[in-house]
Amino acid sequence: MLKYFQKPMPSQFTWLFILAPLLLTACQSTGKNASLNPYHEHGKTALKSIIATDFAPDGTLWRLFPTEKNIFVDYSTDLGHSFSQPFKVNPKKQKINIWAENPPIIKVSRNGRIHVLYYADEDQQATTYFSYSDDQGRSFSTPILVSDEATTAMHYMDQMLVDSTGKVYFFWHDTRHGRHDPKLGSGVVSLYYTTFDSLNGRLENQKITGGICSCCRTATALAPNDKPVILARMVLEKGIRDHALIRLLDNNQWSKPIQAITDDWRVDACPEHGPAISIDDQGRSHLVWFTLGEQRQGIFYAHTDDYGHHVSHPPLPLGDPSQLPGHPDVLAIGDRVYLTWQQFDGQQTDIMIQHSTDRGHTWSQRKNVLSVSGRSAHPKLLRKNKKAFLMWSTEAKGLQLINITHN
Amino acid sequence: MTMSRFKVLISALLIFFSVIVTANEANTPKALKFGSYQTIIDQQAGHPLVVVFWSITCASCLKEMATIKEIHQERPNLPIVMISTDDISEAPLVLATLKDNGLSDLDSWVFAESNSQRLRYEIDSKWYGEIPRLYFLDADHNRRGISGKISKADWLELLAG
Repeated sequence: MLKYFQKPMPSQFTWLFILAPLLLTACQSTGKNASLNPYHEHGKTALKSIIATDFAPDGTLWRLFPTEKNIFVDYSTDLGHSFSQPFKVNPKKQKINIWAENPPIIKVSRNGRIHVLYYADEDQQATTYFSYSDDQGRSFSTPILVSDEATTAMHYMDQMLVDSTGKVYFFWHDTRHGRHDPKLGSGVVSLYYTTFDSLNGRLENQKITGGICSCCRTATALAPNDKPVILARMVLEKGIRDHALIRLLDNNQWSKPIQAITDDWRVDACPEHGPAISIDDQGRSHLVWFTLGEQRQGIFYAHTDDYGHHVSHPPLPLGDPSQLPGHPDVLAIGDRVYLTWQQFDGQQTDIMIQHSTDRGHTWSQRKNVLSVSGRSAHPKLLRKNKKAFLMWSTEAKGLQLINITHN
Repeated sequence: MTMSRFKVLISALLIFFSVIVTANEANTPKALKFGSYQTIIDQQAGHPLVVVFWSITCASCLKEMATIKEIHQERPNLPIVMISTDDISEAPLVLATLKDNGLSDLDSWVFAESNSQRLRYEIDSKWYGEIPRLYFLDADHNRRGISGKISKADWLELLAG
């Protein structure tokens, strides 16, 4: 803040001294001067250090960062070195709810619309709101509830996808059915979805499937036919919590869940450790996940060309098992596949990367690219046209963005 | 006479308020910082105890609470320590959840370090953070860790060593 008044002209000095508090107050409340905004320092003040980012088609990096009562959005045209003034999404203060496994989301569509999904505590804990901007963040639509039973049913682990036409898909874990199959144990919810486009202002909620493990984030990606594919930890027979793929078919019906991974993790617990999926332009789904199953323990990679009917085997173990490898992400760009995950040695969290140049057949050595001690969010991979970026948000260093493209 | 009555009244009031304060202290979840876990364990040196890690957002944990209540009623002298992995800012909700499940008289703590991963690591370097996570310690404090909700029969077996 002092920077703003660094070199005042001598004749102005006295006046500035008197006016400074007024000017500061005015600038803070309007947020018109970026250098005065307390939320400007690379996300350092983001609630629980959690932020969301996405690249727009023109290469602009858009960032969402939450504070205790508000959601802000800003952008960077120099890969995160500096950011625009922040724009406020929610006009009315709300109690923003956030945790690492359940982060907010920002997505920019091909036509430049900025979509925002965030959680706030209202009648129910952690219900989600959706808002968008068609004027580069200057104004946002009034946030609307995604769930049509938001006051009576818990929902969380929301995902948002925007297809090539600008149609928005929302997916989430929903407790509205309440009574689940008692044989399966607790923590079992349904997977719901809805869509939003310029013709459809009403978010009609529809069930995709039951049997979803409540507290692991579900992963989603678009297939080459522009339709969503879902990778979710499901609660299968005998309470086994393994992963299945579900996809939207050409007839716009959802496929039955196909168990893609057999780890035999029989547990009635909240792993809080969801999978990730990325689909290349030839339709290969690249999968990463965590398990403590009978078959294997840790985080793993595999791929499938037919949405889970046949999956590469054995899964590739990632990370050092003695360092609690976790929270992996995957990104496929053409023949290139990029992986990231975090490890912890008791003092510091390390971010590891590994890549393949042949669609996941062979892999580079893993490499530690970032480290920090203290609180951090999960690492994420971002696509900027043909380039791959690693994004990591930490309490100590704020937003870190590095180009990990392998040519 | 009046003076002594006054003194009795004051003493009674003091006792009354100290009971309220003590009761509140016992019920309010305490802040689990680095080192707290070891202190909790050390306070029970020579005695078996059970430490339960749970969260207000974990359905399996909430379901486990019915079993914990039964065990607590049957073995009131067995220390069971409830540690919520939620943020300390959620302490009121943590307390309300324990109350709803009849467990508010148990020793209760909430994670209070921003680096919760390091806090977990200090407790168990092999623990990925899945909950419920239960530790059964015998009188010599040999420890057995179990992830996931378990049955009452499992509890009794683990308590028997």
